[in-house]
Amino acid sequence: MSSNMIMLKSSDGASFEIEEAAARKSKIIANMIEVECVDEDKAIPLQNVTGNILALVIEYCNKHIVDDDDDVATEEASEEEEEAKKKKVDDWEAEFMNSMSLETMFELLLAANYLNIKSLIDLVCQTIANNIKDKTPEEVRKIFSIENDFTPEEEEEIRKENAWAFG
Amino acid sequence: MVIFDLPWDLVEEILFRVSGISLRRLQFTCKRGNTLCNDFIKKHLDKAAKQHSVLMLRNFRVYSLSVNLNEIHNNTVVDPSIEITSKLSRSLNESEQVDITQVFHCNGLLLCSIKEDTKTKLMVVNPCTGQTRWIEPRSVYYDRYVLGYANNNKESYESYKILRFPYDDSQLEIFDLKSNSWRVLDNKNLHTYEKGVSLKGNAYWISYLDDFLSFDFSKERCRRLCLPFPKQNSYVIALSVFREEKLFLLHGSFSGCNTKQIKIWVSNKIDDTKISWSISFTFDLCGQFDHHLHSPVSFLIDEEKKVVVTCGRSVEKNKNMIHIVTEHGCRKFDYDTDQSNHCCPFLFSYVPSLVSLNPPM
Repeated sequence: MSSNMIMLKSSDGASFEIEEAAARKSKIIANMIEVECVDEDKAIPLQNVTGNILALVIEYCNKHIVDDDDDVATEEASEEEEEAKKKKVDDWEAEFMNSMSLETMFELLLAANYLNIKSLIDLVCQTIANNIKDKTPEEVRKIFSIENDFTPEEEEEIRKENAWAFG
Repeated sequence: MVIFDLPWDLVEEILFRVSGISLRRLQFTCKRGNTLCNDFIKKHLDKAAKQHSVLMLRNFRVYSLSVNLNEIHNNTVVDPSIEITSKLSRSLNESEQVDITQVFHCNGLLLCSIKEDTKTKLMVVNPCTGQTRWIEPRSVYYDRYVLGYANNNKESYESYKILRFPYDDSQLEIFDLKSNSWRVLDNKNLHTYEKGVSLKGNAYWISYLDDFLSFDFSKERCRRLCLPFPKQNSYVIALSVFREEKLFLLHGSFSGCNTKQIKIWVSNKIDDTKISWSISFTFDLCGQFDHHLHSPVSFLIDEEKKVVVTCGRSVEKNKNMIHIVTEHGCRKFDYDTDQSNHCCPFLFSYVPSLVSLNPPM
């Protein structure tokens, strides 16, 4: 396993060192490495990601690279161990997302999308969806700071059109 | 930034993870939400369909519930939660609400019996599209109705039919959504008071004789099938369907002077004459709690976590109850007192669909 380090540079100029194996979680960076357009002494500029968001992305990648290594090492792990490991990852992810504001989640989602990290896109989307599930329109507006731009007449109309809904 | 400012493919990724009935509510948040969710529902609801919900009928209203059993699995300190999240309604105005006495689920459609003065009316509703069909029944009594579809064709409204089975000995009747009319069937009485469940278009019930019934909506015939256990010593028998894939039987029995046992059976193969069953899981209750409920009882299960969620009326005070039962114990959630014998509490799993109730425009 290579432990090459590469440098990433955020849009606001912060530099981060990251193991190549972790950086490969991003398909975009993995591609760059494949076509050898990564200069070992030069940081990869990521113009769409700010430093504080990039730090979160790196935290996520580092955590998951360790887990992937584990998978290879203990291929014959028992079902129970697998389950325990999965639970550990789930707990870590829950904690990771729990500490974040919605605004940060949106930015993290955009960054994960730009860097093409599928598992992180899934995680953030699921967390945002959980915030929508089982909420009234008023609660959703509040959580997501959505302005109600319906006039009372329009709202009445749209509710009528959608008669017999769960509201 | 608000959620709707994200690129469309990411908004879609999020909406895929929201259940069909919650999507409807997102529409009411703002104009852009309305347009986006409408587009999404039209395009993708079928893919989002695996997001099932839990619904409950009690005291003439249908509620959507959020049931969280996670803690049971992670920790033996039982701390599950059940919350009512929304109510099926025609409008926000409580005075315009109607009383729903029965509800039957089939492929994302709800068949509701509605009490209007001294009459019963039938309504089929798709809560994800908001579409409804009102059907005038031929009797004013509190008969039972189930919805099904013929020839495995769940996509077209034309294959949907309603079966009426009366309390008295009169004949069974069928209503075709296609022809919009009722007709009498030759079959005899079904011998059941139970609500029944729908699986792959057909209906199934436990009968009050010692067996199990099915109604095939393609052949329009009833069949008697065997229960996989003897009925003696039973204190509760209930039937359920999960995600429209399998039937589940809950069998609660007395296994000793102070011991009760819960056994969950799951259907493997269903053909014309026979259902093969196997035991999903079993646990003893050791008289540690009171699980007495009036029949009929409805239930949901989580096979992996070995959790049963039962719903029924308490024997003493006619309270609408939900019990979360595991081998470690039971958690009780009591709701309001049941106001009428004509509306038993009923818990079921709901899977959204886009099926239309009318001919295409």
